[in-house]
Amino acid sequence: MTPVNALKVYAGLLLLLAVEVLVALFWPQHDSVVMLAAAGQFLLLLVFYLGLYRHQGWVRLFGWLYLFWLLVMLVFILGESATR
Amino acid sequence: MIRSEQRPSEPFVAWAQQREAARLGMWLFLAGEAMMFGSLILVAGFYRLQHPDGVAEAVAGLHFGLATLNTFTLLTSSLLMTLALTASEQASERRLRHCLMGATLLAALFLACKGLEYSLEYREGLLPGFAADSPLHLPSARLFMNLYFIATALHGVHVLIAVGLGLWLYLGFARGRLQGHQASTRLEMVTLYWHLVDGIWVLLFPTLYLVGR
Amino acid sequence: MISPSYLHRQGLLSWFLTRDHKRIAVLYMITVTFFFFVGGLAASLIRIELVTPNGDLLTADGYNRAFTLHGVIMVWFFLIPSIPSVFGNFLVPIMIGARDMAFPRLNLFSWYLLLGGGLFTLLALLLGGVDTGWTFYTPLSTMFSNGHVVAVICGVFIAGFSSIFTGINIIVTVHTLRAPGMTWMRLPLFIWAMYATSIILVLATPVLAITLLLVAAEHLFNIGVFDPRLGGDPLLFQHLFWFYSHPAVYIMILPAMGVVSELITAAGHKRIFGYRFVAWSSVAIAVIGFLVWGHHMFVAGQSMYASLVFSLLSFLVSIPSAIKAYNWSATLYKSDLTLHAPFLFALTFIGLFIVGGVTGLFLALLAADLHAHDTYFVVAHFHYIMVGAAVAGYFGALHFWWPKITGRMYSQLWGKITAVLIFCGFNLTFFPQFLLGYLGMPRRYHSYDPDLQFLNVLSSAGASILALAYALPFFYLLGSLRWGERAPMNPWEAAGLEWRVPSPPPVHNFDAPVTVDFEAYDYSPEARRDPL
Repeated sequence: MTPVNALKVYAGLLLLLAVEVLVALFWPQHDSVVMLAAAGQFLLLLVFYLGLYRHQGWVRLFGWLYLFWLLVMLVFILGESATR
Repeated sequence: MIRSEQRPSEPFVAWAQQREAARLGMWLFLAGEAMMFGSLILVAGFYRLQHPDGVAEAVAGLHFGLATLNTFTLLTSSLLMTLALTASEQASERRLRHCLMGATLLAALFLACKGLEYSLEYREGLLPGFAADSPLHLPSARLFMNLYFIATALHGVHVLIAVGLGLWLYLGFARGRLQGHQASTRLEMVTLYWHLVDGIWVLLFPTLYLVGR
Repeated sequence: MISPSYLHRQGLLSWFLTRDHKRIAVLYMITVTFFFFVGGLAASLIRIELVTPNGDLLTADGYNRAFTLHGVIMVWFFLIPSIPSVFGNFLVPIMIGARDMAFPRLNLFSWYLLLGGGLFTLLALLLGGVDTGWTFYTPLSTMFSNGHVVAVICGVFIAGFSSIFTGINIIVTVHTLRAPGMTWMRLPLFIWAMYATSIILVLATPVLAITLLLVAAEHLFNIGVFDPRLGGDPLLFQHLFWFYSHPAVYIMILPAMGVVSELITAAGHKRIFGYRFVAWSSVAIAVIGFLVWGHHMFVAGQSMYASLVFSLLSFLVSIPSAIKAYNWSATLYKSDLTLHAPFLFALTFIGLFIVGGVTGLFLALLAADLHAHDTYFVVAHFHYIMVGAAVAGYFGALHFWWPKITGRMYSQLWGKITAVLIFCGFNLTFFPQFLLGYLGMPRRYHSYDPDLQFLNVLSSAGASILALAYALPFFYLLGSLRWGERAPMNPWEAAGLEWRVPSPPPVHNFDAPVTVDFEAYDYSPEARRDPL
């Protein structure tokens, strides 16, 4: 990762932070936008700073599996308490 | 871990092999950390869904500005760690040491602000077990407040460890004890850890402070 | 010039500061054996109490502390570390052609973590104990328990890191240190099983860590996360706890399955039937095992639709296990069988595992679980798997690799006697418990309906035979260290890299770098006698 690219990612992270804060302050009913921005930040960190983009094969598979697990847990938590 | 510079340490036969092993080991450790914090964040998310009114009350009293500043601080420290890594790849020692020190200082600043936040909350009587009566009315607000403390405290411990690791690396580089393969591997591993600690905060911050205002 | 073996004496301190995976394995072996006997003592207390229908030996509270001690020690300080930390540590590097594990110092540190956590937990359990059961259900553990809950939690928390680091070490070792030519599909099935186990160790144990942390915080500061008065949910604890603990039971059984694959092929001098199926079934068990935790909570008040899904997935997870059982049987068919002691343990495993596994399906059925939950049926089911199968796997491994680890042969006769005694004693102990559960005897009660006494007496009688059987190896295996004949390099004429190094191996395992150009289990068909 070159310094220029690192700065680009940093800019993206700060932009998403600004979006989060502004939406939370002025449009608090749009919680999902805030969480999407957070997810975007996490993905930026995961893919670029942690370097996931450089890895092929098994690492990528594990990465997708982890995200899939998060999705499964989300669905489960929402579904289980709603259908009790 | 790594010992002499002459050869990779037992039982590796090649530097690339040892580097790969260190990287995989650190990734697996980070995956474990992600499972731990992921569960905690999901628990917080679950309670937020169950008790939107209590959450609103608790979140209204949180120190939003201080936390936003903290997020900015941590993101910047992550940037500096990445720059330190590139400096190491480009073999510019001075830039490496400066970035490393910068990142460590910023992480320490994060802890200081967090401490400030906690002391404010202590004075407001929000700490569990330290005040007879909480100013929060709804019981679920108190629950959410306590979850906030647990989550941020656990994260804070990890930031403290990061500060320690940053200082250890800085001293190693400054005194010239860290060289070559050993140095770059250790720097890379600490950088990975740093980014995960940052990543966890990136998810924790909106879950605790922003949503449900 | 023969290199000195890893056991070559260098003083006691050299053992406590060793980085040799083989020495660390021996240290673990001594540690888990100690905890096994402690847990066994607690089990003896339980079975003696249950000889009579009244609660006369222990008070109700004392009985609670006894079965809690039994569960906590056996699960976290014997079963989970047993095969991975003893045989995983000893064999993984040798089987893949490496000189040591990837992180030797982390390996030693893991042992200290287990030892420290275990001794601390034991101290807490003895000096006052905990009455919550090993499952620490809330709100008992957080609000009403009058025991040293937080202390025991600390001990288990520390030991959890031992698990995580061992798992990391094994995964990285298998990925990066395989000898040239040792492709994934040439690995012994024991390695596949250890790899799958390590995935679970790394990913599930951290969830236990956060669960224990929350229970401790709740107990100390009443944070409210499991307290309904503050909006918390006691059922959430069960979700979090079982999310770890169900994969944990696969941590306990997968390594034993890996051992059985080795024992069966060695005894039959025959290649495993369906290598790929058995290899991938280990991975499948690990993956699906993460999705079935709710089957412990069918009657706890969780969503009925969630229960439906969990029931279905629990049926699915039995399929890879069944594949293994079929493949082992097919391996034995028309094989050149040697009925040595390790093989008898493998047979014990298969027989008892099938009973345990099938009764697990009864429990996975929602309608049946309603009747059987929290009765002795469940107790019998999991003991068939964790004791009947997993401990048989551990003993089988002990008897199979003892010559390699110690360089001594033991008495085959005594080994076989032990295996038979274990099989008979075990069935006498636990089969009546299926009937007891069906007849409605609840678990964790120290008194019961007098009509059920006969079955309980049978069970306790069996337990005494089992205790004898478990104690026997202590004598003849230790005795072999002094009086056993020196073991040859390959006493069982088995395939595998570990049988191509001296018994016991030299410090760096291989005197010359290894290149692998053979498949796993490359027994030659011509060497097989014609079946009679």
